[in-house]
Amino acid sequence: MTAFGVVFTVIVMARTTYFTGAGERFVIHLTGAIICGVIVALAYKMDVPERVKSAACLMTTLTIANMTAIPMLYFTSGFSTEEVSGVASDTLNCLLLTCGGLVGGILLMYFMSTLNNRRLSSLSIVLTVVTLLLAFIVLLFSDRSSGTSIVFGVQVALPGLILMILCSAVATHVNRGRQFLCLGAASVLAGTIVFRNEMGVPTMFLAAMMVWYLFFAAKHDRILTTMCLMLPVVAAAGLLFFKKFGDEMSGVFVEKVMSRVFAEEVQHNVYSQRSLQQSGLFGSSNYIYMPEASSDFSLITIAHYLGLIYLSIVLIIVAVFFNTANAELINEKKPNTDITSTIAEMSLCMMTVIIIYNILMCLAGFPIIGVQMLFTGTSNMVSILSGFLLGCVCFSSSAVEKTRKKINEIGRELL
Amino acid sequence: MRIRYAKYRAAILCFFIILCCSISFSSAVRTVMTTPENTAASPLEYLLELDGTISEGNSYGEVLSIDGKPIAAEIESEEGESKFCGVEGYTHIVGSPSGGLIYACRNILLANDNSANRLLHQGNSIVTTIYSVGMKAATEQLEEFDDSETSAYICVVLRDGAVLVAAGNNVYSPEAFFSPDDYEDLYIDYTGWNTSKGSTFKPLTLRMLLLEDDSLDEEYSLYNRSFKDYNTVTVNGDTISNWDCEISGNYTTDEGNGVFSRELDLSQAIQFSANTYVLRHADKLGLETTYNKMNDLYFLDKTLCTEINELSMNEVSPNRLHYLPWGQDAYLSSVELCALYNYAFGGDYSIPFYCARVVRPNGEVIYNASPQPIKDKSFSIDPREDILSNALADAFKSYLTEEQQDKFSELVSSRRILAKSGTADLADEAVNRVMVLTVLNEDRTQVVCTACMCIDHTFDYNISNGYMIEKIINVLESMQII
Repeated sequence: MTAFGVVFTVIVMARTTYFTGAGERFVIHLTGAIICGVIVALAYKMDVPERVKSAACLMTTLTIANMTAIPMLYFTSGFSTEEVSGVASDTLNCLLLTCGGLVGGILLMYFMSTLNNRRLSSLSIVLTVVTLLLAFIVLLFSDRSSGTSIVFGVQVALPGLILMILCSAVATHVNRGRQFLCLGAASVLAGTIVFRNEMGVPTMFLAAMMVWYLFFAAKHDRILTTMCLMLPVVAAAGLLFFKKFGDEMSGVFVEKVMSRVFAEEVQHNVYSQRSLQQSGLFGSSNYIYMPEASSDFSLITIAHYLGLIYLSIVLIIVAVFFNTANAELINEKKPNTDITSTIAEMSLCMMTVIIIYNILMCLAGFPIIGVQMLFTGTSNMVSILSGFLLGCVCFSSSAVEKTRKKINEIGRELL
Repeated sequence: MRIRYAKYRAAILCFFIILCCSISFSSAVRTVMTTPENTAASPLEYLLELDGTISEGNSYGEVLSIDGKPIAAEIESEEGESKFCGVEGYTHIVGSPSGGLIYACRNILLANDNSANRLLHQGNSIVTTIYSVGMKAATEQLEEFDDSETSAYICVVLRDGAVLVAAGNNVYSPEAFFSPDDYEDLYIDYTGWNTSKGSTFKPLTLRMLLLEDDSLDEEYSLYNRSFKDYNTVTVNGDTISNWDCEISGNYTTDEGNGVFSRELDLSQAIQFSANTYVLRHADKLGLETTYNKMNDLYFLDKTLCTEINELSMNEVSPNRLHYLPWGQDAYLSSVELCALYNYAFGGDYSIPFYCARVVRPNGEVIYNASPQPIKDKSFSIDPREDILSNALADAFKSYLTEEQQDKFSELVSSRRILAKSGTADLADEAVNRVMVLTVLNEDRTQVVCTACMCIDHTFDYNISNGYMIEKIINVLESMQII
């Protein structure tokens, strides 16, 4: 895997540098490659769980590919200069933000691991207030014309997603009253985001919680389990219903569903197919008109420039990562009753749902509901979210403790 | 309970994930293995392996005349909106993103190839067959036709189908591209427009009849030097007359009941532009047979696709087949007419084309037009011996005044110019005036090109053949073709 990483990195760096004809691009890639190399080296050198190693591979594979493919949009595609100039320059920035999110996730988990029940109970109140405040901000200040929950240029649905995960995780460790408050606040925020025409994040949150409940929850209620199992069936039936009768119905919600998911002018699936057809096994750098390249369909952009072989490697790494992480988190020797395990489980479910749905959306023509592949694209918020979720999944208290001791030792030696 | 089922849960979840990845992967493989559809691509795009998608982000490549002059440019409206459009004199051919060559070839003009165009955001350039020198001369010749109801245009088509000149008296204003409703004829390429071409169609019918001469008896053979031509005939219940039917001096015999006759050979029939001569020969062969054989020979019932337009003659109603042989119902474009003349007098049929080359931003030529005549349509012809070619060479001399004969004495004596005029009557008493000149090479063994000038919907009945010939010759001389 390491050998593949080295060869792959060199090839993509040379390729992008050639096509862009810009030497500074090589420096940017080298920087990105070094950062990713350090992460992979640390993951393999330190005594960490297996899931951390496969997570480092997944992150490296996707971020390096992202840094390679997205800038090529500017030089080889038909996108306008204005459309892609920002896209091309932001990929290194996204890697740095991903690393920031990763460290942030690990620190938050470390902080959570130090909380006792009383403090956790207080934290639930704080989280409830912050979540409701965010819902209030989304309601009042979001840009209604954008079709997403953007407030002052920031896509708040993604930090909102982090808050919703934390609320849900804390809710499983507090008394029933606080539980009601936390889940209520998360629901209000999700509902507000839906009200502001953003469907992807709330849908993914609901799906992730469903997966968590079915596969990770310590106790199961028969009715709730049945509801969780029925939910995908109901969603699929709803989509089929809209597809068949949506044209004859009216209303804002119907229009939103029809325009975003089924409308003919949403040509992303067609463009995805064209893009993949041109990519072949080893990628193409020919003229192409690609779908929403910088966000939801960034995986297609990457696959177009790097080919089907790269795509298959990503899919294998995704499968390996989830297999390892699931096995390690579910198959503990003792039940996971601490808050950090719950957050890790929910984060893993969130990653699973987002990555798998995005793959299905890009490659298998699933309805487009605004779900971006983690570690790719040029959205700062998605980069932070990707790093944060990975940090939560990979958090290992023993590894953090060892690292903390090591840092202390180095500090003492230096002093 | 939780620990007991933990392994199963992990296995189920992993199975689900791997299943999703497999579905996606198989779908991706299937997509990659599928050949992209090229349904939206034009023939030239198909040749260049473009799939009809548009690259909105690139700037347009250049559009050049055959002699390297840019004939399209980015223009800006008073409001600051910019568009890539044809420059003055070329708007009707080059057009803009809404019409003309730029519209028809936008995928080529916007497409780029990263290996050739790494740092530029520019599409391919198209070198057209249009010759700027000839276009300039033709535009100057048309300047006097500033009446908005009269469309005057000149086109020149080479033997291989290359359209050298396609000039019209179209209105030009840069603002027209931003408010097209105020300048309706801006994009109309008159040379590609179907109008009645009158008697200029007769030589095409006669060529077909010559090829079928064995099917006609001796009297109706086109080699018959004394064919009895009547001033008026009745076919399918309609009376068809010669334009000079009432000039008894042109006829030698009074047949009674207002019918006069004269003896003509082919050359005289061409010079008199005798409608009944052509019609009676066609009728002898059979009007339907004539129509079918004309279609077989000239693809009149087919659509010829060029890079920027589609050329096809208007369909002829079965009950008006007797109006076609002498040209009254021959509605076709002047470009197609020129191509058919090249064929009728050269023996090789080449489809007209406008794109000579497609060049990448780095100068690499990715398409070079290599027009080939349609082989199974070719027939052998020697213009020096050909009775029809000689008849049209005689007609050229007959169209000129004595003064013009002196002026063009070299051309007249060399018999290199084959000419045929035409006049089509329109419903509102206006007429279409047409003149076609086919140029042979110096030893008269091959056709070089055919030029056509049309003045559509004019009420000026005094436009002489010599006047139109002089204008065409000026254009041909500017390009040093003659």
